[in-house]
Amino acid sequence: MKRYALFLGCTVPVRAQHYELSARNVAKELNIEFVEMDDASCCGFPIKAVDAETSLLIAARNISIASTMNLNIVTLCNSCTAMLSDAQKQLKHNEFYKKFKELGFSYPHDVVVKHFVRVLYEEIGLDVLKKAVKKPLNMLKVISHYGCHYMRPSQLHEFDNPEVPHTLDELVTVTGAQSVEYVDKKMCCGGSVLGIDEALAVTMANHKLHTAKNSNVDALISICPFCTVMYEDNQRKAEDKFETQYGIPVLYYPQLLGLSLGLDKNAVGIRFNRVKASALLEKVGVA
Amino acid sequence: MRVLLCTCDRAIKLPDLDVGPDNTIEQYDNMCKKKPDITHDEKVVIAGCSPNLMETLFPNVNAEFVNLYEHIILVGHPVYKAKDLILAAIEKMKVITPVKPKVFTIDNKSALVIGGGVAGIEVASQLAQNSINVHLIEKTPFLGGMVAKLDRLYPEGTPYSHTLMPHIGTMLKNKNIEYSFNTEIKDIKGKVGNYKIMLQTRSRGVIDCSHCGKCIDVCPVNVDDEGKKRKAIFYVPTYPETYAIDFKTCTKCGECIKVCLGKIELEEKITEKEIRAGAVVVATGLNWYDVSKVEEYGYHRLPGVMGTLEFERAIASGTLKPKKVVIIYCVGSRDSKHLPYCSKICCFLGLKEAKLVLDRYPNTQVYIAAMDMRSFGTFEYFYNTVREKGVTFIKGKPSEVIKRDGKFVVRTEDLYTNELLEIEADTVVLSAGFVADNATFDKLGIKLNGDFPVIYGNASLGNIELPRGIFTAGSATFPAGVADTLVDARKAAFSVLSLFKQDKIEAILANALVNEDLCSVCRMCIGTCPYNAISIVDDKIKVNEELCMGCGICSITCPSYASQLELFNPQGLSNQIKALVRKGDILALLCRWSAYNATDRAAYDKYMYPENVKIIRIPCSGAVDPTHIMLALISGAKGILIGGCYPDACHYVRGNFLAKAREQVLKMNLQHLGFKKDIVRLEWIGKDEANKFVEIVKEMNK
Amino acid sequence: MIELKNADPNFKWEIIKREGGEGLLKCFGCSDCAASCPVRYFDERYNPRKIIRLTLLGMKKEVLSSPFLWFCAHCHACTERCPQGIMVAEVINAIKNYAAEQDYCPEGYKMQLDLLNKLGRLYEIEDFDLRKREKLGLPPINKIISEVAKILEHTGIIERVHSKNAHANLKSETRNTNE
Repeated sequence: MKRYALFLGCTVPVRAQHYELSARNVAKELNIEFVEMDDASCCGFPIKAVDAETSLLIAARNISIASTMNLNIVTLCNSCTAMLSDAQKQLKHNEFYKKFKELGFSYPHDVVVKHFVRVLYEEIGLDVLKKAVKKPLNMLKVISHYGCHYMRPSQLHEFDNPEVPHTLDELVTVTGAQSVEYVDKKMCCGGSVLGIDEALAVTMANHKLHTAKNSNVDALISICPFCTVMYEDNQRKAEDKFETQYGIPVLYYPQLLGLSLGLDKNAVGIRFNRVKASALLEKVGVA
Repeated sequence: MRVLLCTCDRAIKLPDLDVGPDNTIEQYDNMCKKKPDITHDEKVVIAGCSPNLMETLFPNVNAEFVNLYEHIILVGHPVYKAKDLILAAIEKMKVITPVKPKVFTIDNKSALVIGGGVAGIEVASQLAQNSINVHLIEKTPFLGGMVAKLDRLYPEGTPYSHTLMPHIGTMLKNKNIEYSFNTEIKDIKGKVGNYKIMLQTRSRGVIDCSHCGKCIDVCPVNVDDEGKKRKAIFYVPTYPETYAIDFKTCTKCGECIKVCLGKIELEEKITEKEIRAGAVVVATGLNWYDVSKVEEYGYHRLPGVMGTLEFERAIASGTLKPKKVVIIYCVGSRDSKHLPYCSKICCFLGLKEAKLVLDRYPNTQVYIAAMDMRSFGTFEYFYNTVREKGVTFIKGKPSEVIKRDGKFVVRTEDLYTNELLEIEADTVVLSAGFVADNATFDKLGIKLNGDFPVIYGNASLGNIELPRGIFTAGSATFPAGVADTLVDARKAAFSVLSLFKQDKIEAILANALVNEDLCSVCRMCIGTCPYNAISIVDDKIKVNEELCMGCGICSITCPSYASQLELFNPQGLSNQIKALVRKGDILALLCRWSAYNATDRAAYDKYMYPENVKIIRIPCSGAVDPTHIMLALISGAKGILIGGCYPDACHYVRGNFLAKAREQVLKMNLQHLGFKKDIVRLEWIGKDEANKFVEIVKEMNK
Repeated sequence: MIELKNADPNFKWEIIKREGGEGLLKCFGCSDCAASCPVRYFDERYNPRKIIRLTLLGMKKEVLSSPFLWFCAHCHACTERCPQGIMVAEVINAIKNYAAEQDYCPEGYKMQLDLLNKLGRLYEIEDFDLRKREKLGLPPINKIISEVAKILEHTGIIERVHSKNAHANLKSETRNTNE
């Protein structure tokens, strides 16, 4: 049994419960135990643009919670991953550590921060997953969206290939689904500029939705609630702006993996997906 | 010990001086006119004018110089200070190991030239014409090196046959050159004038050849040799006129043997042979950087993205007829993740490829995407020519190459218009930077970390103070075109000739010595030596006297004081400080290459400074130990100034950086002990910055 | 035209001192950042190279007051490509931080800051959310994490951002400066 402290962040527990639910259920299937971080707050990323130091301190406080539990952190959101990883590195610098101590926090054990998907890839491994798949989703064709902070900046994550990312594609392939190759795989969803210029953000999201439509896929696979906000919640806006119809379901990777592990559709919270995935469910034979 | 005192025509007047029972004073009115004799094994103190002058009068003596003229007379300091300075110098010299002259005998006056490209050929040719016996080794089966792979040379576009073949012809006329093909060095021992080199030769396969070419017709193995198609048995039309087997690809089917009129052996044999030489010339040329590491441009990942050589060969052989070509410059160059330097010649190679394709197919559209175009000197004409051929230059570093709808798309921003550009093309050429042939340098014991020797200011490869028997020529020095390569090759040949003019070279330069009884082989010195002169030999720390420049950094780094520099050691400096520093003094430990000269300048320019400033000349600011500082403080110094060269300007590469690092730690510790932060100051002082020196010591004296 | 007589030679040094601003001086203007930027791909009003260039020139007011500064999505596409190893997105972020203190902080960020101060989270957790979680079998979560306010008070960021009010609401300004 592998144990991790689960860091939920702001968006997942209230706006993306299906992500949380599917991740928890997938974890259970794979013998991973999540320990709750009751007093965890926002990761700090939303105000990094206002003051990097404050955001790092907020992140470091969250890390200190896991540190006192002597557990490594698993996150579900790309931006949380980057923010917490950054703070974890900063805690090794004297100057930052001093500021952190001034606030009365402690860091008794070194903590490793990893995205859940990275844990699946690195610590569970493709072979174990392959064996666990009970219901291969061979009939599905999807495009995988990595999002930015899953592997960038590479100095921080030292994971995957920032120019030619491949881990999510491999993880999707394990479920039996086909992960199609496409141009501009690394394109940002636009989420970070949503609050500054909505039209621009929607235009950015549209780029990949357009690719997805042309590739004739059954779903777009996301691993970040921020990206899903852009591709799913704002899909209608993109359709209006660019006078087109998409209707592309956006599934979190644990939802897809869950289905292939034979989980019930409620166990992966499919009904909470904003763009309905009924056609997809029909294809895979989950009534 | 003799104390030799020059009064500078009685300008220096000293009262009677008691120098102790074992020492004697000899007074001279003018040493410039009448020099006392000093032998090499004698230790002396020479007092008079600045060591900067004295050292030219007395080169290679074991002396501590006391500067009475510039440090006392010209700045109006009292004579008691002269006494202190002389006595302190005596105290230092008591514990100094004199320099042992190093004698290099040039026993062997033949040369080994590594590399049979243009550079190696020219070096061998020049040496042979001067009656030097040369052994030329080449790792491939044929002469010609990089140039023989190219279709043409920039800027004129002449085929290699114009340049390479006449040079080969000239060389072959000489009878005193021995050639070994398929040969590399295995290891090298010895020193200048007497190297023992083990050579390793792989067999050629073709033993007896009548050059009929039938073997090529029957060989079933097709090989793509950097864009050129050939068989596993092949010939490069340079020299020798004998075919060769490429054992990496040969399937040993035996078809060639059936048609051969001579003799072929399909078992590859490796033979070794030891040779001797008095000098080695490295002419190993260059290699393209592995562009697949620059992943955004898709080499390997996107088939059809090619390097310059592949492109050149494909155009020349007619296998590629592009309609739209993008040549991307600086691939991997000037990039902290890849090659931090500019390889100097790739801009011209790119221009050459553009001209090549337009000469052959004038209707091709050619784009050159370059963050900078560097066409120094007369190469500007070449740049003009290529522009007038209609090549479009785009300023900006392309972000990536993608494949969309079957076509390559190069994405960039055009800095001239400030607009994003996407260039669709059928061919993308990556013009990469260059790296040295590290394997050979490694075997020669020269560590380059992927760079070229010239990036180290050639410091590791022969300096003016020590005779070295290893030289570089051509692109092994730094990437160069054929014209520059020939010049550099002649320079290397000249260096060898002038070395061989001598039978014996005596070098008297302070050297680090390791006391094996004290050394714990902790290896800290290995990392700090700027010249890679220290290594472990037979489980013991060994200083390579051909490389040691006498900076003294290792002796300061050594926690056991096992490493000592001839003429300068920590104990000597301690003695000197103890004898010199009195309560309330400012001690100035000044680098002999910069800060010390500023004090001479201060004397000439009449910048006066307080008499309690006591100056000691040190080899490098990196040669000061924290214990010296503590000793001065215990002696009552109210300030200690360490003067060094400006960052990057250190005579010993990085001594001043080490000084800086030590200063920071030292300051922290001193603060804990209750001293003021500024009681120790490390300052960069240039050789003419007298006013800076004076301002600092005045400030410290407040 | 860039009026260099209005330039502030200290501006670049002020940015370098800030968290993330370190690499600024290494820039040799190759424009790989701009060519890699997904925002610049869709909206040419944002150009990281131009922001860095103006910063190096010392055009403090132009850089800090530009609404397009905030268009950076912090996606680090630029960082991956920069041949000089500059973490471009971090440099831009350092400039944003500086702008925020000079009263150029967009309202949206101020709101987020206030929410974090009040709740320690970006979203207010209502009883409805908790009931929904319970129904799904998800563990309960705390409504308010008060220690975040403690951090904000310690660094004094709210005070720094709210100190003046002359440049409030950059969003409307965005439109005006379009022309």
